[in-house]
Amino acid sequence: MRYLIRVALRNVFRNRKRTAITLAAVFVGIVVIIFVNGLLAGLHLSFNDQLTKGVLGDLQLQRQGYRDSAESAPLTLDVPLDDSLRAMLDGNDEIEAWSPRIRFGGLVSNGEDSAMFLGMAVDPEKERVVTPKALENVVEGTWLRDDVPNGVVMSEQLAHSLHLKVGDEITILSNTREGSMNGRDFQLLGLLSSSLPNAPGRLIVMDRSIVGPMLFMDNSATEIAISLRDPAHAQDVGDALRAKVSPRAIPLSVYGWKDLSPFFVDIMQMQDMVFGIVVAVLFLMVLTGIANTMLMSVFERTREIGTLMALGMRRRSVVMLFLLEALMLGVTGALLGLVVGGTVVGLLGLHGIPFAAPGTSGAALTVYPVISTTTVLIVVVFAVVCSLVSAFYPAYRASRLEPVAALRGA
Amino acid sequence: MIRHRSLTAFALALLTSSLIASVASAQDATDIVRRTDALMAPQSFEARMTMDVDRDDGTHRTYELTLHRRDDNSLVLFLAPDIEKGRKMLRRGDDIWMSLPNVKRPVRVSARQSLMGGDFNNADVLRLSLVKDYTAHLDKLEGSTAVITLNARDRGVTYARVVARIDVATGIPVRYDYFTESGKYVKTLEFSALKVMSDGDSRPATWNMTNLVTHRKSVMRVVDMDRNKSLPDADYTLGRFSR
Repeated sequence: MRYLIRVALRNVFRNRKRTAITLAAVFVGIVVIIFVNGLLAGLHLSFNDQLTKGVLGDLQLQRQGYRDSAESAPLTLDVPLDDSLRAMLDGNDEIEAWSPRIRFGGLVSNGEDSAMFLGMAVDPEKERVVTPKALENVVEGTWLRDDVPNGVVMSEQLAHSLHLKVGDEITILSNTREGSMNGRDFQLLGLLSSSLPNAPGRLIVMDRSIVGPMLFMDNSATEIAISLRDPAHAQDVGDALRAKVSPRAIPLSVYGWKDLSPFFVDIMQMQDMVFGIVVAVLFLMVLTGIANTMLMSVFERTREIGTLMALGMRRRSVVMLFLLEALMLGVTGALLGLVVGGTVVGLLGLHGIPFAAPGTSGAALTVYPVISTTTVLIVVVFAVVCSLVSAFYPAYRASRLEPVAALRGA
Repeated sequence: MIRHRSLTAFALALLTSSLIASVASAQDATDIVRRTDALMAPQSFEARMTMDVDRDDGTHRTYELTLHRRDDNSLVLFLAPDIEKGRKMLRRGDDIWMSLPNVKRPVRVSARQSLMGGDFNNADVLRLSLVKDYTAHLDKLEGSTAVITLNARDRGVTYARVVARIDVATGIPVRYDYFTESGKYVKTLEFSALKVMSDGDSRPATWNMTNLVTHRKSVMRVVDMDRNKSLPDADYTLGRFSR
């Protein structure tokens, strides 16, 4: 075996140019795989981060059945914030903070025109802890302020369509939980944009201490957003919570961010699928690259193989020889690719790539590409499998040669 | 020839008499309805009422309000519960406005919108003249009760058709059945509990509105009505209405 390795090594270096080109093919393939994988992984992490820390929280509690009619935002399917629920959430060590919210629909008017809006009434203190990134979405003015209880922040699109500026007074009308119409004047404190695609363009965020009584929902909410001390435990904490809230008099459901954003789950699945196609294409490319080189090698060295066999080398060893050469090419190219690709991803990971997705209204999402041990493992396996598969046919051809014919040069 | 002439005469007489009868029945119906209007909603009056609303989730709310009228304008002022104190509704002709204590400008609302989430809508409480909104036709008499079909004069009127049962002698309403344009029977209002009020008139003090679609009920009780009291004209203007 050691002998074969030495021969294989020598053969690889015999035609420098061809070896270089083949290595290049493998190298490029590997770099692309690492880069795209890193980018996607980073993008998915960003989505996760923006969604959990900017919009949804790590977990959410809602009344069972509310989600089915989520489109109509029914206030009657609310979560009463009774003492036992408060105690349970406050006493849970895994929960960092919980923020009750009221989601409702209504009309907002600038005095002349009205437009429909989707409102979210929150406790600003708690919301700040559960979704800290939400504050980053303020593009003009400020977030909710303690000294202005009837202050609101509004999607900038909505504000523009109603010709509103920060500081303007607006009137909000909505149907209360009881079906009567109620309203109030509010002051516009800030404008919101979003870095995520599919963000609501008609959002108004308000203070629950004002809106709750307005809607006759002083002590209830349509959803409770929860942030955890360790978001990685979300699944387990969610399961434990579910066991406690499903048997309540008014049963509640527990949702993770993926349950609440099917849109993003779809996007990520689509991206993973595209990535899979990219890998398949690259696989073919590397495969043909190595296979081509090996096949050429076999034709060129027919006489040499004939000599070797005449001198007593077994067919098995001939096959092994070619496999070793292919393996050397593949693994070297992969290692080079890993080093370069890994460096590129690492550097970009420190700096970040601005990623303005289509349909977003403002701040670009910054993506930090990452590499994981899984990726490295996949790359290595990929390289080995590729090399071996591509060398198989040429090696087989080589082993089928008849020594006498081979010596003659046929 | 004489026979032919008498036949024609007879036919003519029949035709004229039925025409007269239908005109008379329209006349009669309109007279009856006019009398009902004069009793239930005089051109100018002030009334104090309570409205009980039963909701789907079993909760119950009682509102106290005053209703004022001056010709084509009417005003509702909410007195209780405390949360609703300060809420007002104003009708000027065909438009209905709402004024809320926390909102600077008055808000235009739909006549068909439910008042406080109950089964009386804004029109039921504020649009008070049947004669103005409907043409009346007498269908039949059930004892001393006239069954009158009211057809909306135009699209702006809330109900396309109302079948009203009214006492012929007094004009006191017994029951109204409300129908939509498609003929669907949607609500029914039953009057009961006759009471003599401050201005000397005897009127039904309890109005039971049943929504036949949702199977819910609301009850309006007239605590008192006085045709001799009214608010000054200025109170029925938008300027005075809002803050």
